[in-house]
Formats: sequence, structure tokens, C-alpha cells
Amino acid sequence: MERAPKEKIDSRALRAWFFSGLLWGLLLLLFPAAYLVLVNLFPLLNLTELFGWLGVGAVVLFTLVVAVIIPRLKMHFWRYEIRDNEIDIQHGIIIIRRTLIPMIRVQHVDTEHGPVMRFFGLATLRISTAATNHRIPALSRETAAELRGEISALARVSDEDV
Amino acid sequence: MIPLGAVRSLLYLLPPLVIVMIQNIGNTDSRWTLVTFAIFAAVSLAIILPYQMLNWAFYTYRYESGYLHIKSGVVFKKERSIKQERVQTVNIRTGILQRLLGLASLHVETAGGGMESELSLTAVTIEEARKIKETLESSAHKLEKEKETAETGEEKVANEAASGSEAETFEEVYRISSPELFLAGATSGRFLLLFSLIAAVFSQVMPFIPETFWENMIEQVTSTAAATVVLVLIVLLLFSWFISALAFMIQNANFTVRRQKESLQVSWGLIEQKQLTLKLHRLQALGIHEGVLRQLTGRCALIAEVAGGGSREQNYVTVLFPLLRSTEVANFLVRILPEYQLPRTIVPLPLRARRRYIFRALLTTLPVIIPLQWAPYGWIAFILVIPAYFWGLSRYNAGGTVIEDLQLTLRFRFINRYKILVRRNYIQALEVSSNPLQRWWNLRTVQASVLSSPAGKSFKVTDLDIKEARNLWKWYSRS
Repeated sequence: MERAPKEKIDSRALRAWFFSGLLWGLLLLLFPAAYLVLVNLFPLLNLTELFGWLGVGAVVLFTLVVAVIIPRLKMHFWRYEIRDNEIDIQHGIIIIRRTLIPMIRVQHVDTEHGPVMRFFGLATLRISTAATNHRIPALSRETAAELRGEISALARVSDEDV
Repeated sequence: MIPLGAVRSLLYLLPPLVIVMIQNIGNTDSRWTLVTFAIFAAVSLAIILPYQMLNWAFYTYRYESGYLHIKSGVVFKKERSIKQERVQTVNIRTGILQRLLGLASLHVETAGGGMESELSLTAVTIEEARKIKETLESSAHKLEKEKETAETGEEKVANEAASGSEAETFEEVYRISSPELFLAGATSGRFLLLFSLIAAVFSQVMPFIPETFWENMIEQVTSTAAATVVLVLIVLLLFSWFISALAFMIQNANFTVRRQKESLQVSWGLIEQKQLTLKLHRLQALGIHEGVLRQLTGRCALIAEVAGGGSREQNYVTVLFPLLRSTEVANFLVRILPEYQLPRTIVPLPLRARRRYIFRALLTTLPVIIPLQWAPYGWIAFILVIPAYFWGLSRYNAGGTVIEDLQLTLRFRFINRYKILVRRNYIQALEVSSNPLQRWWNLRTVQASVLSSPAGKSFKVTDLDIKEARNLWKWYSRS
């Protein structure tokens, strides 16, 4: 446990997370924008314009955190290692979690990717045991497919199976 | 099948439409509603039909050298590979519509606690479904047969080794005694629930009781109204406690555990005898549960974490034995469940974890204390700090872990104290986590997940010494 797992996730993840963070930011920006439009179109309502700009500021700050800061931290702490008989994952920003999953406990492995991830050539690997679910986000699609094959080949039924 | 899917989605739209139509029945212009309905249906068809087509087009499966690969998703793509050995059952189902079209749906299930099928092909031709079923099941059966022959082989050897015939059925019985049973009921803690129920009912009935009755009672006992309230509460409490203890006794009368070779037979009940057989390999972990009242009387209950089964019985399996002297647990395990051992010692939490436990306990009182400061005499709420302190302390004292051979024991308390005994190959995953403060103090939180119906459970001990956490990690790691 003293030594952190070897592999890092793909550095393209930074761009993908930045992009999706930006999309979220733009989506959220609609709310203060709508408010500002309301302020200027209906002066009779007596709304304060300041709140609208505060909202814009909050959204910008939020986007900065979600699109730039958090991805960097996530990137920094995310590690994984796939050995012949176990999977070792470390993740987290404030609370750092280290998880050990024996191969023989793996029930199935999935890869999945949404539109943003696909654009950047990335995929998420999902590993499920009979009781828990784990994921390794943002691997290159080739690596993810490879790992999926590798893990499901290693995850054989053994005598100590449940 | 695509139009079918679309039609089905359309059916879900019907109820709101029907409501709209009913509301409009009184209207003179009923043609208008018909037109709206038509437009509605057309628009939704225009959206749903292409979506279903895409869904269908993107759902592909492929069978290849011992693996089944599935790809799905229009926007969010998903790929899954299932190894043939993992497949347990393959079900083919046909609905009326499907039968008319010569189709079937195929459901593949693998071992484990998941509620939904690992794989569902909702529309394949019947022949195709049969073919898939055959290929998937053939190897599964082969495996099973191999296992069976291996087992019977072992048995023969074992029987030969055991000289004589009396060794054939290995059976041990453990039965609860009546005084113990009463104690179990009395300490079950259920009466609090019943009490609140009875009190609620009573508060509804109270206004109907004639006032003279109360006046008489007050005169007889004391002259203050407050005393009456207290008295009524005490009587109610005793009453509900007695009833719940009695109910518990009837429910759990003759509680018996029988160990036969590879299974446990649990039976209980006075009026309705219930019995169930628990195959040993389904037992994932053993819990020793000491409620506060029971810990005071030196008793505990044994709880089984059971996987799968997929039937109604799994609801009952959780209690393996309702009440046992804590000193007798080791004996019970030797006789009934020699696979598990009660650890002799437990590694306690380091001293530096104590203040963290106490601090956390004190923290929980804040949401009560702070708002009460605006109330008159709010400062009295600060008394809460005292029980919170002892609560934190006792949680700290309860925390601990130990490894003996292939068994991990976790001990922890929230209100009740638990000891969880779990064998290494039944732990699905192990997690060691730390927040910044824990990293500063070299403390870790350890969490072991086991399979337990329906989904899975995790047991956690907070603020272990980092060395102990590393020990656990090393013990669990297979490399």
C-alpha cells in the first residue's frame, strides 16, 4: 500500500473535462442571462440588475472550478494498476480512496463513452463485482478496450468462487 | 420489433391522453380532442420511431471464443464482454405479441446479487434464442458436471477415510432455552416502536375518556396532573414492552439451528413453524450484534449475511440465532460453524483516534444546541454534550480489527456494537481511505464490501492506525 499504483489516466482527460465543464457552465449561464433579460425588458417589475451580474460571476467561478481546477486535481490523484490477480485503484481529491479488487471477484467489465468523451477518443472502464462498482474514467479508447479484454480474460471462475 | 417498441412507448402516453379526453367529454366540440390526439400521436411517433430504430441498430451482440460481446447505446455507448463460464442461467421468454411475430426475448444471468439481468436481448428469432441458449449453457453445464464429479470423488475418499458408518451424517443442534428466549424478547428493543404506536393511538382515544375518570384517578394517586401524565406513560411503556416481548417469544419459540455437512437448517415459530435451509457457500459473513440492552446483560444475537437465493426466504435468513450469551459464542461457532472463529484479541484503535471520535460525537449535537439558543432556557441543551462525549468514547472503544488466518474481524459501533467475521474470499473489494486530517495523524478508514442480498453491504472501521491498515491491505492483496 505504501507505493501508489503505476498507471495514470490519459492526459486528454483534461481537455475532455474542460470541454464538458464549459458546456455545463454555458448551460447554467442561461439562468442569470434570462434574469438580466427580464430586468431590462420589464422595468416595471423593479428587479435589481446587480443580482443578475452576481449570478454571472458565480457561474463563471463555478465553471472555472469545475472545468479547470477539479480536473487538474483529479488527474493528479487518479492512479490505477492492473496486475494478474487484482486491480488497484486510487482516486479522490480531498478524501483519497484506494481500492483493491481481486480478479476472481470481478463479475463483468464494461467500457462506455458519451459524445464528449468520444470526440476526445476516450472511454470509461467500469468494473463490477457482485457487491460493488468501480470505474476508471478517461482512458484512451484503445487502452479501455484492451483492459476490458484483459480483465475479463483474467477474471475466471475459481474454486474459491462465491 | 422496432414498430412494436414504438407502439409500446406510445401506450405509455395513453393515460394522460385519456384523462384529457375525459375532461373534454362535456365539451361540445369533441372533434377537437380527436384532432389533438392525432397530432399528439403523430408527433410522438415521429420522435420515438427513429429513436427505437437507432437503438435497435446500435444494439449488437457477437459470440466469439468463449465470450459474448454486447455493444449498445445511441449517444452514450456501452460495451460489455461476458465470459461464458460466468453464465449461470439463460431464460427465453415469449409474450403474445412476440409469439405472433416468431420472436423471443433472451435473458442471461450471471452469478451474483444484481437484480437485473446481465444481458437482455428483447427481440431475437426463436431459433436464434435457442441457439444462443444452447451454446451458452453447454459449457456452463459441463463445468457444473465437472464440479459434481470432483465433489463426489472427494466424498468417497472422505467416507473411506472415516472408519465406520456413524460419520455419515455430521449433525449438531443448538436450541434456545425458554428463559433466554424471554430475555431476548425483553431486550429486543422493539417495544419502543410499539410504544410510540400505542401512545399515538392513545392520544387519539384520550379525549373520549370521561373527565371524571381522570379526576378520580388523580385524587387516588396524587393531586398533580403532571404525575398522571408520567404514570400513564409508564403504564403504557410497560404494557408495550410486555406485549412486544411476548410477540417476540411466540415468533421465535423453539428457535433451532442444525448443522448438516454443508448446510445450516434454521427453524422457529410456535404457531407457524418455519424452516429454512441455508447452504453454507451462500453465507458471506457472520455478524455478532450486541444491542445496548443486550450488551448490558452480556448477550448478543448472531446475524448471517446471505447472498442470492432469489426467493422470499432470504428475508428471514438474517437472524442466525436470536440470543446467545456472549461467552458462549465461541462454543456455538465450534459446534455449528467451525469455519468462523471468534478472535481472542482485537487490535484496538490508536489513542490519537480517541479525540477524533469524541469530537465527531460532539459535532452531532450542534444542530440541536445552536437553534435552541434562541429559546428560553436554551443553555440547558448544553447538557447534551455529556451523553455525546460518552457516546463518542464508547464508539472509539468499540473500534478495532484483527486478522486470523483467512478471517478478518471488524468491530465497530454506531449505537449497537457489531463484530463482523468475514473470510477473505468473501470480501468483494477492500477500500482504504483518508481525509487530510487522517493523513496528518497517520490514520485510515478501512471498508470491506461483501455480497449480501439484494445488493451488497460494506462494513467500515474509522481511524485505524496506518500500520494496521497496511497489514489488512497486504493480507487481502494476492500479489
